[in-house]
Amino acid sequence: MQELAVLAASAMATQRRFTAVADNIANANTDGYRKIDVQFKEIISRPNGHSTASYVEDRGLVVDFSGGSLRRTGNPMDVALGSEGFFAVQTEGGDIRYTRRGAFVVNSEGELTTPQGLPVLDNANAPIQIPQNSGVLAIARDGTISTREGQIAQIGVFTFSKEDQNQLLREGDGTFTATQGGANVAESPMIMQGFVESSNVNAVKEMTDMQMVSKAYQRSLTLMRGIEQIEQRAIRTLGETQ
Amino acid sequence: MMQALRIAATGMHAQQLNVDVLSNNIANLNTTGFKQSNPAFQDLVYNTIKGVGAITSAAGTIAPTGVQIGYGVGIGSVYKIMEQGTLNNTGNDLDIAVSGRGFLKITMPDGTTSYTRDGSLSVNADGDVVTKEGYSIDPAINIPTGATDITITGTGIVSAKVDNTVTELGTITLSMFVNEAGLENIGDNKYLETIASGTPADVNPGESGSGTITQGFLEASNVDAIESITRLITAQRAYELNSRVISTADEMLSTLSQIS
Repeated sequence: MQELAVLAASAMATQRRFTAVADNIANANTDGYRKIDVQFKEIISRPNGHSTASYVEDRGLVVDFSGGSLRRTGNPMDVALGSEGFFAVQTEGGDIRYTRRGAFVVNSEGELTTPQGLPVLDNANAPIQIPQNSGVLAIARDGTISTREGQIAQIGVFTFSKEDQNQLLREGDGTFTATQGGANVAESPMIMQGFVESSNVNAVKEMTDMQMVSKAYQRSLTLMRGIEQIEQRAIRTLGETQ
Repeated sequence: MMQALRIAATGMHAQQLNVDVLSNNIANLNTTGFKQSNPAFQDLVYNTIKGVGAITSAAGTIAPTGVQIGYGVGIGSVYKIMEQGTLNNTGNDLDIAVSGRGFLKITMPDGTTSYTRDGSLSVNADGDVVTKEGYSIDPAINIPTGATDITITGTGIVSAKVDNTVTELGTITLSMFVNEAGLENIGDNKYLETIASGTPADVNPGESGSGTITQGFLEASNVDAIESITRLITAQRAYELNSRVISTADEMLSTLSQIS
């Protein structure tokens, strides 16, 4: 029965959508998290030439790179990006990851790192060294780090073209890797010291999505049961007329 | 479906920890020299179902987006925010506050060293300058009996009037850590040096980027009540949202079990 297959495809796609909604809600309080949306596509099947069936399949997940609201923390080591772009951090393996999360610390070697210990990079992809005897750090709008003694380094901010940004691969911990195209040094970044960027998950939207997804799922399954009952009745009725 | 249940469970766990950390901050709203903790959440690794940039035809077209489902949220770290607290006047000669970076060094009863921002000092029976627990500060400073008018300068020099002459009794130094957030908390406003914090450099107050000492003041907790309460409300709502995901997943599963 093609109807059942169509409905099963719909239920499965809806289930995948629900997982994405659950992931967004779980990360509603994760600083720098970017929410995900599921895109669906239609697959047309013509099994016997004239009748057609339209199946649904989830085509892909898109990361929504719109900005989250900025939350004041007062911590001089917290920086938020008020403009487009990403901070760059380096993994143990030397790979460069991009992130919107600007909660940094200085490690025991005096390097500016994420709380997980990944070094933060400057515009030339080099780690940033903070001298031991520097007092409280001042971070300017363009990422320039300075102390009373003068300028130390500049936090790198990178942007991608729209197409390249959609190709960023999520690596967890709010980080992404570039899969195509290169990162460009941001022209006029706006860095806010003492702020962190919240998750861009909108709780109201996720809750309404969840209700919609759940209803769609239940509708598909109820229809499947209906079709099954029609079949049963058809078999019974046809059997009696013989 | 089951994945959504597990994801929502990670969300509830994370928010529970968030509430724990925030309530500890709020409880220490009036603790001298207390530094608030901050939980850092991280979205968990992704299960790539269909890779970004997968080739979708022989002509070499590529998928503009992939399918990557996450595993929810985890706790990355809980770290201290070493922001300066406000200084409150106490009028007590032996209350000192550090204005800027640096920690006071304390000799623990077992001979080990700990560090603190809490400068509520006093003098014990032997005349030693000690913390409120009675642990002496390092370098040790002794105030002779009969000394009056104890003065502590911004650069940490302690002097007092002994037999009507002003005598210098010692200097309070500050310990500077490269990574203050990496210090280990042992309670009582005290911290221990760790591999992450690095070895401290002992400097005179006001030198090498360290803060200065203010006599007669104590550093208040750096917990912002309003910020903490708003974060607590957000955490509670996020917890509720995650529990709604679980009940919705449950509803969907029960519909599934009814179709056959």
